[in-house]
Amino acid sequence: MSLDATYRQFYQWAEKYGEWLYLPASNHIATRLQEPDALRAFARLLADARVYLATVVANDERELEDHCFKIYYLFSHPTEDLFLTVEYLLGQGAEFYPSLFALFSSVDSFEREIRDLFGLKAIRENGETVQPRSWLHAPYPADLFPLRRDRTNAQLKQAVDAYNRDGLDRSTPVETMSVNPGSLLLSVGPVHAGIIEPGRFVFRIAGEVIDDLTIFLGYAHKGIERLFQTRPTLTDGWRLAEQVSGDSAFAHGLAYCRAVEMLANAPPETAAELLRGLFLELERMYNHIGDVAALAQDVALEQIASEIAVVRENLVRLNAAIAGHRYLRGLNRPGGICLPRPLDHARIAMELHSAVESFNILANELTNRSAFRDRTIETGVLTSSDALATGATGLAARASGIARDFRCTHPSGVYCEPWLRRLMEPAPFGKTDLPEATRGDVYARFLTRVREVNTSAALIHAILERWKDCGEKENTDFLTEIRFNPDRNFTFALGYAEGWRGEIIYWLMQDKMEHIYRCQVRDPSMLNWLALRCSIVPHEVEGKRVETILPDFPLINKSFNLSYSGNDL
Amino acid sequence: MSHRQLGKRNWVNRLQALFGLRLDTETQPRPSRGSIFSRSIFIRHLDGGSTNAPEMELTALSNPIYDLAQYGIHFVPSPRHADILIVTGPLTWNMLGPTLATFEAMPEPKRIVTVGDCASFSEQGGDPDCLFSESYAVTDLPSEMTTKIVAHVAGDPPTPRAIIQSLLRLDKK
Repeated sequence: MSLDATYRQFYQWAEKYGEWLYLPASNHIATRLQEPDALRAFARLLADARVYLATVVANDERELEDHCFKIYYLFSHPTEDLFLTVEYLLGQGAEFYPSLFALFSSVDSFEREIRDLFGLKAIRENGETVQPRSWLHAPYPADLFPLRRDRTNAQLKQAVDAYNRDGLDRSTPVETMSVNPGSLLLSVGPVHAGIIEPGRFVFRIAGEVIDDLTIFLGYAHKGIERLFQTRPTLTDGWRLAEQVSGDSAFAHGLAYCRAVEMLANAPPETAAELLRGLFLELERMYNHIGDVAALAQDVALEQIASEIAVVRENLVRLNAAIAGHRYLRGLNRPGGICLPRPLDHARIAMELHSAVESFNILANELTNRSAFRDRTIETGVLTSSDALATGATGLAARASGIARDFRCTHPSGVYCEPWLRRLMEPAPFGKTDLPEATRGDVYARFLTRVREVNTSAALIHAILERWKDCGEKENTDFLTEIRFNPDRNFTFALGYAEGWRGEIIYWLMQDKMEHIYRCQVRDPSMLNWLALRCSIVPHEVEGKRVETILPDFPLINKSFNLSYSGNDL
Repeated sequence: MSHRQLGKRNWVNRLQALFGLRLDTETQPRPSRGSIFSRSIFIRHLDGGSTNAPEMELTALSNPIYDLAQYGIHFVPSPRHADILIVTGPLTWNMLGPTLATFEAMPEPKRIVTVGDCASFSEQGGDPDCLFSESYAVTDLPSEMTTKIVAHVAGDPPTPRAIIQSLLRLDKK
């Protein structure tokens, strides 16, 4: 279907079920509705059309004109550059809303988050409400609801302190899995044996086979979304965005800045967009290469792992040399990019070339090692139907044959350029040349990483070629002026960027004082934790039941390498 | 002492151990007498809700370029094996219980090293540079733990080099 036809169809649907239509951006239709039945009927239509649920945002608008809580469902079209927002009004004083879990299982995390942070309860179709304490564990009072606006930040802090004054409740979240005779529950975490982030995994095992798995997160919950609306102005919120997930600092900063630029209607200049593309791909490369090293480590191929780790370290040092920070912090600003020094494009081209060359030799060696193939092939399979059902995104979805990549479907900046799009086409999505890369197992995720490293290198070389001809290549600041429009007070804008894990989305609402009224952060991990679970618990692959043994869990977990911090916020 | 010198010392020690060679030991710096963990530090890492950037740098310490093991410093899988607890992140309320449990599980003598700007607990009132210190979800390290802090590595995140230098200085404490 063409973009026009899709647009018309979205528009018709939105008009049929919604009450009032508006356009937050040229590629974005929004509608609002109030009836639970209308929401469910509309959502069913969208689910049948395989539309992707990108994020769910709750907002406390009790002091604004509608005097109620609102839930914004953001859908994105899987192939066309089109977004659809469905704004659901809860009604004055209401704290319940219909769950869409039966249609989009990916709403589960969002509904649990909204339950804890807003105290709004989603009612499932069987009449049950979503259980609390996924994000705020035992140390928090049950009625804290930190994203409601009736308490100041200081009052919130006080309330938590007071609640724990008589001693900390050290109980862990309770698992609800039943234990059959012969099986047992094994709780691992939140402090793990390696150097990783905190999360708790409760396995039900019978012998070595994992029978069921519950993932408890929230340990890294730092209250980021509340901080966004507490201190920073719209222009300096990027500092906080870079702290959401350290390994995706650039992509998070970029997504935030794009949202601000949408609000201020200030598209950055071409040179800034070239640089943004360059750094986004550099971030993808060092992460993918580091993950391949970790996979080699996990199958005990220490020597290859060490050599790949050297390649990664060299890339991170290249980051430091050109951007002043090993993990590319401090570059993005609303309106463009600030470099610490003029870009040394010759050095980037040279070092990248040798890094990719070494990496390809090592990756190729891995593909030939039976020790690697035996452990990774048919391990942790995420079938394409599960990937679709769980709303998996980014690298994990692509390794399962789902072509979901915001650089292709919702391009912005340099990714709109035909000379760059040409380079994107074959490598990440070529289904015919490498069917192994879309089978959804650990090996497929490994191959997808290797291929994306090569695509990124090609993109960077193309960008650097353009940079050579760029008139401003000796400059360090590439900024357009940001001026906020009071007409946009209390309206929202989207910012997104395809980070290495998948697309990062910022939903940003402007306050009247050029501050942030609400900023919701959607890291791809939020969706992919569900996919990880699906790839581990017993499931069917091509009609055959597959089971995972406990010793394969770390390998599978590493092959996804999800962010805990980006999920817990 | 630069870590290049220490690397050399280590190399000399290895030669001595392997071949029974006696090299000029007068020029060799010796572990000071007051040190409790000299030349053998076992570290347990604990993420108190960091951004995961310090974790990337701690992982990088094991790559062949930094090769932390050459200094006799190792990461261990359990607090039961550890001399030092490395704490990263601002310490979230959700991680306070697990943090205390981890610290309690360590045998004496035990010490704490904090890594990263967000994990600066020793100063009263939190670190103004850390964006999270105002958050309702962030708390302070309990006093029984703050008294055991022997070093803080600043940086957002600190570079592997800074972390190594800080750990090597522990030898003298």
